[in-house]
Amino acid sequence: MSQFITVDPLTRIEGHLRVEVEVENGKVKDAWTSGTLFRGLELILRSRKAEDAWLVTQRSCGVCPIPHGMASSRSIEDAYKLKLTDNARLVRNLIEGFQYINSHLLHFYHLVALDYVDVTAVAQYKGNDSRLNEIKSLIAAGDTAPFTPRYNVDYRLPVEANIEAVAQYVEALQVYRRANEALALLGGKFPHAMSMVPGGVTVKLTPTIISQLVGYIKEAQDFIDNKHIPLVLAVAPYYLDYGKIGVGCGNFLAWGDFPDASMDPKKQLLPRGAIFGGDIANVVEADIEKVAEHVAHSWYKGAEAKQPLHGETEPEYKSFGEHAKDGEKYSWLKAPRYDGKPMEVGPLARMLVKQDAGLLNLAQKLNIGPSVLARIAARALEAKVVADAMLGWVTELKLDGPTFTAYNPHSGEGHGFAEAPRGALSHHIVIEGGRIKNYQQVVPTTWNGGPRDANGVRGPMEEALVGTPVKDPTQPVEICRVVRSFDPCIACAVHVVDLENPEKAAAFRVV
Amino acid sequence: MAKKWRVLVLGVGNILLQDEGFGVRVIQAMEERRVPLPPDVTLLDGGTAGFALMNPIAEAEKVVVVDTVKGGGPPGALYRFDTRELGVKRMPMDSLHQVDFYQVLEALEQLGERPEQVVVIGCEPKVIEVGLELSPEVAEKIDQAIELILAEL
Repeated sequence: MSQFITVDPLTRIEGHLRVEVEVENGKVKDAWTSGTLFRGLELILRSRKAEDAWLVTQRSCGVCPIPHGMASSRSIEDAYKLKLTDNARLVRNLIEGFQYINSHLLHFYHLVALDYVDVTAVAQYKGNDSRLNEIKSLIAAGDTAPFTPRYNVDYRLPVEANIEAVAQYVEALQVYRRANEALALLGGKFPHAMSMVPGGVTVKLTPTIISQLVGYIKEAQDFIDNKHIPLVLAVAPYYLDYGKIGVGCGNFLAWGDFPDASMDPKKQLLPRGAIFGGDIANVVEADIEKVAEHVAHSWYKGAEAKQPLHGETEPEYKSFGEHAKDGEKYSWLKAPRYDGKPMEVGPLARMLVKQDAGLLNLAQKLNIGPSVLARIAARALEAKVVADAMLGWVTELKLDGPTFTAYNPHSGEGHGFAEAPRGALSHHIVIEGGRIKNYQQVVPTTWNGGPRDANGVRGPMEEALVGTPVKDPTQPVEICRVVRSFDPCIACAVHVVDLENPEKAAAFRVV
Repeated sequence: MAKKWRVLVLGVGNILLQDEGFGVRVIQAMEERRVPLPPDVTLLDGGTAGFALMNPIAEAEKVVVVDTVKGGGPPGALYRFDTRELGVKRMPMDSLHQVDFYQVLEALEQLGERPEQVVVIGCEPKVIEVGLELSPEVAEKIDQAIELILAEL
């Protein structure tokens, strides 16, 4: 007899990822991931000026405005065949680099760590670090809400390791904030990066900015090298079973990012490429022409899988009732496929396509393959790869070098690629007389969290969930660990405050 | 330690979801109309940023957040409350994209940098669907919201 579990994280916001699994004999037998927010950005953009797209698309995400702005600008540069100046390339690499550091640190310390680190261990702390003692007093007062996981978790670390992790969490927040200061130097008006216009960047570099950037990068490097990576390595041995859980589809795709002066996609710091059938030593070239988005199980009209440049966004919603079913539409996400295959995107995909020696050696040492643990390790090691490269890019900046390539709007078609911290991102634009005729985005979580395709083949996250052991179906922490390892993103509409008590709400009303 | 700003007026929300963008639209209106402000008061369009707002919030003694609020009133109803009066239920997160404003305040509290006062001026939404336009009921409340903000300075 099988049992269905739904992890439906937040009901008070508009968009989220709904995960449903069927459990039989203590293991996930089947899984359905469903994105519940309709992304109709394409409809908003139609007929607008092409050069305004980056401003609008940045708003589609509160976590990744930078990669969206980047992909949008690059789509126009591709359509108009613009050549970036070297300074523009370097500044963009640095902006995106700080975004990686930020996102990877926050993801690990603020989100993933709670799955593995028992914060309540701080109750046994006896030292005199004021922040740890602050948290200790919160625990003593029973006010542990920010740190309390929603399920009972099988924590396995020794007390001291737990305490060390909590101390690092506080420190990570400070490193995160310092990286944001650096982004404000380069990105202009925060939090939306205002400097990444089609044609280059609008930053005026000064010697002070450059020396400040060096300081910020070194600070981040120090934390990643001496805290973040050692902590991941210290935690991993206690959770080695997760080196075999959440394996996924075995296909990986990276458009790659951080170009060098040649602008060759294969020579980027994180290169472009694809891997199939778990053959991780065999990296092949990746080509956008092989991408098609399926809508057979997505709430859009039509049945034909289309290349993103010619994609359509015509909603057609029909509730799936209590459970998502194979033969029906059950997600607002489309199902992108490469050469007909589901592809995992994200740090693990990028580091495998890069054939990163650090990751491959670690995987061998721990005897793990693509898995929950491998994704977490890849994210930490990638933060180091990027931070180390950033120091080189700063030294290449030319103080008086041009940062912008002028252009006249006309007509064309373009693809803009970027690697958001959570995976491959592409924007696709058709421009007629300077105005947008079609605009499509293929975002990381569509790749990872998309539904089944026209052939009924599961999406990567769905596939990764199959086989996951679930000890107690009422406490599906194992499911959460698998899902979170992908660092899913779903559109942002998170600010609506719901005053749940109507009497109190009435008291607050002023007009 | 003296902070950079006495008051930060922070509009949050997603302008791609119609009324969800109320807070940002109010900030934009104040900027366009050049509403006179004391020199130690600053405006910020915070969009949908989560933790990225930590620095600007920590730099202010008082924060006036302009947001969309569901309080059960008719569309366009305006609310005003201090965040200390509000027992917001903390929801566990599965994605960084669920970070909301209150978690940012919590994090700043842990760092001992939460501003002394955080007040929310909120508007009841009518439509939260893909689109750039505010509904008429919400759009016509921008002027009154600005009055309420100025009264907080």
